[in-house]
Amino acid sequence: MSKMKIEPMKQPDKIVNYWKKEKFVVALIVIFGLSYNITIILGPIYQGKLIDSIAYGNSLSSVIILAITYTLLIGINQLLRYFKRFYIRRFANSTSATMRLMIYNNIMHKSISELDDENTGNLMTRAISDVDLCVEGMRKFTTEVFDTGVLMVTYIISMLVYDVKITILSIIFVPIAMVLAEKLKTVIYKYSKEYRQKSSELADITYDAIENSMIYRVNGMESKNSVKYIEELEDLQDKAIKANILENSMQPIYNVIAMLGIIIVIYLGGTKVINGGWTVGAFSTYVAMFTAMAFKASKAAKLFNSVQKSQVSWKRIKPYLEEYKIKDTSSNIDTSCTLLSVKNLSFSYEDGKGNIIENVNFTGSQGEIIGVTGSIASGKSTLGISLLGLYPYVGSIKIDGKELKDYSEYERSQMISYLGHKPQLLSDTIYNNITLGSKSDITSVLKDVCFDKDLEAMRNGQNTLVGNSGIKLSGGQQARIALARALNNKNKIIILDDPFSAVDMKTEEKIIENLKNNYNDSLIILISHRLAIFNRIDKIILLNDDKTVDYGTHNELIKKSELYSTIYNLQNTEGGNNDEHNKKVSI
Amino acid sequence: MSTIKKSVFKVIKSNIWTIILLVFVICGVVVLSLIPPQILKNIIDQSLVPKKFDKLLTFAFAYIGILFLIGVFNFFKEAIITILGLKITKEIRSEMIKKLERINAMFFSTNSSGTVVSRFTNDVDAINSLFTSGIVGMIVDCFKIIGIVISIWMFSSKLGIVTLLLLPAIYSITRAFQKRMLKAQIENRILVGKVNNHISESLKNVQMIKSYSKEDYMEENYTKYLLENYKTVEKVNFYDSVYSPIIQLIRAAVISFIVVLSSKQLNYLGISLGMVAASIELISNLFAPIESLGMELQNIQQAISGIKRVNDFFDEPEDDFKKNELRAENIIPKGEDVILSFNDITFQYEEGLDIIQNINLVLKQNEKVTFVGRTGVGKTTLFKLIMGLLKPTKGSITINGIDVYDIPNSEKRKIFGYVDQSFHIIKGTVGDQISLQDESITREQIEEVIDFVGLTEYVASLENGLDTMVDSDTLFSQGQKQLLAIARAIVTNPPILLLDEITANLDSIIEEKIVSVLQKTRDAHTILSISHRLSSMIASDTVVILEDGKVKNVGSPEVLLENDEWYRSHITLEKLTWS
Repeated sequence: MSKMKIEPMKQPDKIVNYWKKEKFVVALIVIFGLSYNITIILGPIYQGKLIDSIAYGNSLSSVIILAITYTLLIGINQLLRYFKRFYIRRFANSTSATMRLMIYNNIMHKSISELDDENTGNLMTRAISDVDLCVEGMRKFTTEVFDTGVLMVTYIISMLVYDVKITILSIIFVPIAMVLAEKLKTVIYKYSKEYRQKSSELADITYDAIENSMIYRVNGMESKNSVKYIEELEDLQDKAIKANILENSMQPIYNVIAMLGIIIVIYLGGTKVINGGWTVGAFSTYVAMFTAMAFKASKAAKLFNSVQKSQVSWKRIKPYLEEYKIKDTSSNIDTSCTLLSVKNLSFSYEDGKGNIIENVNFTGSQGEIIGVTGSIASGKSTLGISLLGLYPYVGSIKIDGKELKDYSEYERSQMISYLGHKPQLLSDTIYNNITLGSKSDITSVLKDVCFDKDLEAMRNGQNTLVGNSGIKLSGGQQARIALARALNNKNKIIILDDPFSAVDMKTEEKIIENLKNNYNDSLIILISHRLAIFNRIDKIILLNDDKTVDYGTHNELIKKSELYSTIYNLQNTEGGNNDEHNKKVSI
Repeated sequence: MSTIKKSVFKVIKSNIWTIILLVFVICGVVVLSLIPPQILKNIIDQSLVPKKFDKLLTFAFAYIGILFLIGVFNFFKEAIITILGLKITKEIRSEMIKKLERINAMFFSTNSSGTVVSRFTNDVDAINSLFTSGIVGMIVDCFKIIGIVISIWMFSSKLGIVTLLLLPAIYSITRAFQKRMLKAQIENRILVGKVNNHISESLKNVQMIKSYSKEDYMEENYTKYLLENYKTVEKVNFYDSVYSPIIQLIRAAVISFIVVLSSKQLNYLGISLGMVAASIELISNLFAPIESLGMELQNIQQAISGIKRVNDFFDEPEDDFKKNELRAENIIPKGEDVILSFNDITFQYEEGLDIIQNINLVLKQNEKVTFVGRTGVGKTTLFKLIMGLLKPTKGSITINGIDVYDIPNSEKRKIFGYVDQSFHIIKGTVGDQISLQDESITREQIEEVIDFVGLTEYVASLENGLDTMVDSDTLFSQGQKQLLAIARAIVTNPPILLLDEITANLDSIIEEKIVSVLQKTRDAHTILSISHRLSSMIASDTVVILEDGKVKNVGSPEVLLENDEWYRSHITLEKLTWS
C-alpha cells in the first residue's frame, strides 16, 4: 500500500524533481499508461469480431467463447486503466503534499522581519491555490502524454494496418480541426480575458458596495450605486455570453470537422467490404477507432490551455520552494542560576530613526520580579522586545555574563519566555496550547494562573478546544492560557507584557502571589500600566516621557518620582470597576 | 413566492421565444443523436450485406450531415442555456443589490463582508448551475434515455425489455458510487480547511512560535494534517479511478450478451446484423446520460443550500419606509437653528438586552458635545441612531421636530457629516473618495474642500492630481486618510458633524493637524464626537459620560471636573498620558 509518509525533498525548485522523487509511482504510471493505451484497440477489434461471428453464422459455442474473451479482455484493459488513473492521482496527491510541506517549511524559517515585509496572508492563500493549480496541470500533463499521445499513435498505427489509403485520406481533417482550434484560441482568449477582467471588476464593486455600505448609506449614495451596479451587470452579461459561447459551444464544431473523414471511411471502407477486402466487423472496428480518435483530437486544444495555466502558477510558487531547513538546536546555556544585567541600553526599530528607549540600566537575578511601567508610548513594550534579541540593540544586555546577541536564536528561545499583548492561541485544545507538544502535566501551572475554577466548568477539561484564535474563551481566559504557556516553558527569564489587561484585579493579585511563590528559578519582567500590584514586586523601572529612567523599589519610587506616586494614588482611587467581562473587548 | 422564483419567471416570461427555441433545439438534439446508429444499421443491412454500391455514398453524406446538424443543434443548445442562465444570474443579483439598499443596518454588524459577497457570487453561481447544468441537463438526459430505449424497442421488443431492466441496475450502481464519493469529498473538504487554516494560524502566531522555537512542533502538526488530507484524497481517488472502468466492463458484458442472444443458432432477438451493430452503438450511448443524471441530481442537492442562503438574505429585515417627500432644506431652512433632541430613547439588538437606555438630551445650534465611556457602552450605536440608520426600540431622535428615522437616505448627506475611526477607500479616483461619485458634487466643491483640509499640495503632486486612481492602500498616509474622511464629510457643508474616535489610530502630531482643521469648522456646525479619551480634541461645551447604555453624568467639562470623581481622576491620568 502507500508509504503514508510525507517527507521533505531536495532541490524542490526544479519541477522535474517531483517526477523523479516519485520514481516508483511514475514507473507504474508509465507501465500502466502504455499497456492500457496499447491494449485499448482490442475493444474495437473484438467488437468487430463479434459482429463477424454473427455475420458468418459461427457455432454457438465459438460465439460464447468469443464473447467471454471479449469481456475478459475489456476487463483486463479496464483494470490497467484503473491502475493508471489511480497512480496518476496518487502522484498528484503526494506532489501536492510535498509542495505544501516545502512551502510551509520555507515560510516558518523566514525571519520575523522578512515576514513583516511581505504581505504574507494574501500571498499565502494565493500560494495554496497555486499549488492546486500547478499540481492539476502536472497531473493533466502526465495523463495526456499517455491518453492523447500514446493513444493517438496506437490508433493511427492500427488504422494503417487495416488500410493505408483510407487512413491517410480520412485523417487529414483531424489536423485541420486542431489548427482551427489553435487559431480560434487567440480570439476566444481575448473574449474570455475581457470577461474575466469584468468579472473580477464586478467582484470588486460588489465588495466595495458591501464593505462600505454604511458610508454609502449615510451619504445617500446607495440607490445611485445600485443603478450603476445593474448597468455593470448588464455589461458583464454581454461579455460572459460572448466568451462562454465561443469557449463552450465551439467543441461540437471542431468535432464535426475532425469527423469529416468519416465520408471517406464509409465510402471507401464500404466498397472494400463489398469487394471482399474487409469483413463487416473490420468495417465497424475501423469506424469505432476513427470516431474515438477524432473525438480526442477535438479536445486537444483544451489540454494545452490547462498546461499553460499551471506554468503561471508554478512561477508564482517557485520562490517559496527552497531547500528544507532545520533549526540548529544545539545549546550551551547555564541553567543553574540567572543573572541579567542591562547597561546603557538604547533601541530603535530602524537605523537612523530616533531611539525609543535610551540608556536603560538594571540588573536582576532568578526569583525576582521586575516591573516596567511608563506612560503611553514611553517604550515599555519596546524594552520588553529589545530583551528578546530579535533586533539589533546598542549597549549591553548580558545573561550570565554573555552578551545576548552572541547566543543563537535557539538558545535565546530556551532562555527567554515572552508573552505579548496578543494571547496568540492556536485552534487546538487548552492542553496543546500550553504544552506546544512537550508532554508535561499542566495541572499546577493552570492553578498558578487561577484557571482551575474555569476548568471545572468545562466538560472536556484540559482537552477543551479553544476555537479559532481562542474565540471560545473570554478575553481574560485567553490571557491566562497564554500566561500558563509562558510559565510552563519555565525559562530563565519570563517577560510578560501587560498580561493582565483583560483580567480582573483580584485574580491579578492572586496570580502575582503565585508567581512570587512558585517561580523562584526564573527572573520575571512584568510590563504594565496598572500599578496596583507594584508594591509587591522587587524592583521597578519607570520610563519617563523625556526618555529618562527611574529605577528602584516601590517605596523608593514613591518618594523619588512625583509621576509614579500620583499615578499610583489615582489608580487606587479609581480602582474597583475592572471586572473581567466588562473588559472583554479591550484586547 | 420567493424572490428567486420571481426572478426566474421574469426571465422566462421576457424570453418566451428563446425558451420555445430551446425546447425545439433540445428535441432536435435528442432525435438527431438517435439517427447515426440507424444509418450504420442501413449501411450494413442495405449495402454491405447484400453487397450493393449504389447507396453507399448517400449514406456517407447522410452520416456526416447528421453529425453536422447535431453539432449545430448542440451549439445552439449550449448557447441558449448559457444566455438564459446568465440572464437569471443578472436578474437575481439586481434584486439582491436593491435588497441591500433596504436592508436593516444591523445586518452589516452581524455579517462579515466576505460572507455577504459570497452570497452575491458563489451562491448565485450555484443557482445558475442549478438551472443550466442541473434542471435543463436532467431533462435533456431523460429524453436521451427515453429516445434510446424507443430506438432499441423498434428493433426488437425483447431487447427493449433487456434495456429497460438494465436502466435501474446501472443507475443504482452509479448512485452508490457517487454517494460514497461525495461523502469522501465532504470529509476531504473539512481537512483541506484544516490544512489551510493551519497556515494562516501559523502566520498569525509566528512571533510566539519563533520565541518558543516551536517551528518543528507546528510543522509536525502540519504534516499530520497533510497526511490525513492525503488519506482522504486517496479515498476519493479510489472511487474516482474505479468507477469508469467498472461502467466500461458492464458495457462490454452487455454487448457480449446481446451478441450471444442474436447468434445464428439462438437467434432469440430475431434482428439483422445491422441492428446488432446499431444496438451496440445505442447501448454504448446509454451510459453517458445515466452517469450525468446522477451528477445532476447531486448538483441540484448542493445548489439547494445556495438557494436557501440567498432566500435567507432576501428575508432579512428591512428598514421601514422613509417619508420620501422630506427634503433637507425643509427640515433645516436656511439661517434657522438646528435643534437635535433625544426623546427618551432605548435601543436593543436583542429582546431584553438594552444597549442604550432612556437617553434624554437636547442639543442647541452649534453645540459641541463629546460622548465618553468605556468601549462597548453603545456610543457608536448612538451615532447610528442619530443618523436614522437604526430605529430606536423606544423613543425618538428629532431634528427640529422631524424624526431622523423618517428622513430618506438620499437627503442625509446635506444634514450629517460622518467621520469614522478608519477611512474607507472606495473604488475610484482621489476625487471620488470625496464625492463618492455623487454627480451633484462639483469639481470646484471638491477642490475647495481639499484645500480646506490642507491636502491641495499633496494631491497636486500625484500623477493625475484629483483624477489619480486610488489603487494602493499606501497612496495616503494614515493621517492624510483621516483628512480625506473629513473632506468627504464636509464637502456638502452639513450642519451636523459626527466624529467617531477619529484620532484613535493616529500619533499626536497628526492629531494636532486634524484638530486644527476641525477648529475651522467650529463656528458653523453642531459637532458630536465620540472619544474613549476624556479631553476631546475639540473643546466641548458639554460632556456626556455613558455607562452601561445610560447617561451617567452630563455637564460642562468644568462642572464635571468638580463633581465627578471618576472624570477627575481619569482626566489627570490622561494628562500624564497614562491611559
